[in-house]
Amino acid sequence: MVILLNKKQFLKELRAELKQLQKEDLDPIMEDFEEHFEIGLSKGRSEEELVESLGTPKTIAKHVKADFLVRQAEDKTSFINFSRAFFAILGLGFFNLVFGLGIFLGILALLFGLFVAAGAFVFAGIASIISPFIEPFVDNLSLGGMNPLAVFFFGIGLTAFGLLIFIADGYITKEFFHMALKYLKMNIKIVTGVN
Amino acid sequence: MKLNMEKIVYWLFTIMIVSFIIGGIIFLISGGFG
Repeated sequence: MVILLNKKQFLKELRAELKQLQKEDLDPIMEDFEEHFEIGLSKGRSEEELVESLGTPKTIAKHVKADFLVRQAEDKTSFINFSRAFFAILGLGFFNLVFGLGIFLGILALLFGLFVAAGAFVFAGIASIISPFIEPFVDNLSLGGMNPLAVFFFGIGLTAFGLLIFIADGYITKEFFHMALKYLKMNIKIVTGVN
Repeated sequence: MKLNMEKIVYWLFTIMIVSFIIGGIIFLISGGFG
């Protein structure tokens, strides 16, 4: 049996569903819905009719939450914020995201690998800078017959190279998350038809 | 103070190229791995 809610009940239920949101985030959303009712009522439509056209408060709350989490991830891009947005949209029934998840994690692993490589270059570089100085005092440490000064300069070069990879990888990762968020947003837009 | 990334990258790149060139020259004139 379908029980049609009136405006007051609908807004009350929606507010209850969205109770996790902060007041300053929730108020504009509730105002939007109230406005929607006002416009609809002024056009002669009944409250029940408007409620029916909107869908259940639970479904709407899911969309609103997903949309909110995507915005939050856009403001502060982090893996945690991104995952929250991702699972919220997955909860809306966008199972196409599951296929995308494989590609997403693959690229993420590649970017992580680059970070590790950058770290290894920096580590090798610092070791090369230090080793010419400690080589005479440490047994089993060999520069492979290379000139100690050459090893020292190669070390500086390697460290700088590692740091450059690190910076470049940081930019690429950030850009990648932005692109992934755009894709998530596209999924929400398909259903709601709004930005 | 906000870090000037462009400047950092510029200097890191310069340091990398210069030290590789200097290291390479020393390596070659000192007889490589000999």
